[in-house]
Amino acid sequence: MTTTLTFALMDAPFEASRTATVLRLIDDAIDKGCNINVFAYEGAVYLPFALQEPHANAVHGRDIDEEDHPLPREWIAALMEKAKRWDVAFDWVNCGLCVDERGASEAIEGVRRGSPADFWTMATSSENTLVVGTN
Amino acid sequence: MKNYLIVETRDLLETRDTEWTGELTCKLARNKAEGTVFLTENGVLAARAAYDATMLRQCLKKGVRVFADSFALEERGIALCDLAKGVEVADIGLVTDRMIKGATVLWR
Amino acid sequence: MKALNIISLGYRATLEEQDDTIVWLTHAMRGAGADIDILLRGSAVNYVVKGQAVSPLAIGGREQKHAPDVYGQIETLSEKGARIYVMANDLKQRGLKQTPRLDATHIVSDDDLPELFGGYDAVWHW
Repeated sequence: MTTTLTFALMDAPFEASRTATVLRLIDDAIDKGCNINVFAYEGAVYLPFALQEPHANAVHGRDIDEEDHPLPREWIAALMEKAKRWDVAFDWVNCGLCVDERGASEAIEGVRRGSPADFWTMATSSENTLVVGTN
Repeated sequence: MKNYLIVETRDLLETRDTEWTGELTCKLARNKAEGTVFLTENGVLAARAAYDATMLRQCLKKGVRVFADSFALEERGIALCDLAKGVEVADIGLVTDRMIKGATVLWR
Repeated sequence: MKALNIISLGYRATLEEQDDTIVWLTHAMRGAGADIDILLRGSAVNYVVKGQAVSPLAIGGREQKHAPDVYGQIETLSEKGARIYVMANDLKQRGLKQTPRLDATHIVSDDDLPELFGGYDAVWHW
């Protein structure tokens, strides 16, 4: 039987090392054949924000293409694709009120709007849940 | 037996609150539960032998296993030979594995 | 499933959010049928201190209608049946041992935690 793991995240992109660490963890969990649920709360609803754009880096003398800066939305899309290849489920829910107050409604495909009730449903239907709070 | 994994991401000298990571893990370990610490991000700074890490030493003394994230160690230029005695190296997969096995994971 | 939410950081973005967002989340999840209690530690232990109040914030003339009421949030949560645990050592270190606080709190020590945690299916540290 496939293990399902749920993650609750809070940090907005580009603000805390936690984001990259948790995405590494989710990546590893997919490699191990786990179904993944993510409940994005507060600033984390910006992680899959569709309007993130890459930029050049004049300090390093790199144009946009050379810089090739991975955006959190790209990493999340890549995780979704990987999950499909591994034939495991990947459900990303953005907390709706958090989306509203931040104007983050434009999310990448595959992200759905939800509420704290979804987090409870995810948690009660998975083998384990990890909450990664914020400072 | 309940298993606990405490993930400590903060530099132990940056905030006193990291002391609670050690206190909690040691108490869990004493009470018929398995307590393990996984250091990642700036938490691995304390894995250096030369670092003044009382919390870490106390954990190790009480039989708590302490792991340091290999990715974070490399990111901070901490070589294997720099590590405090007793600190083990693992990758982030240790956290996944413990989650799969049902451990309660607290992220600090 | 029974879950315990640990809240360590008090007053984080409470003025902007008009709530402590984890206490709010706990309310919302309980409303959806979740069996969740809370453990306050660190600066969050101040939430049970009586007499705290904040006036609605006005910035540049734009005034807030509903200032956050973290004490009230905790009180209401306890009235809805949630157990409110508070760490003894954190109260003591912050000089709050004798300070009037919410009656419906259960003071716990570090020594109590293994057994306390053992009584929950999930323990979440926010």
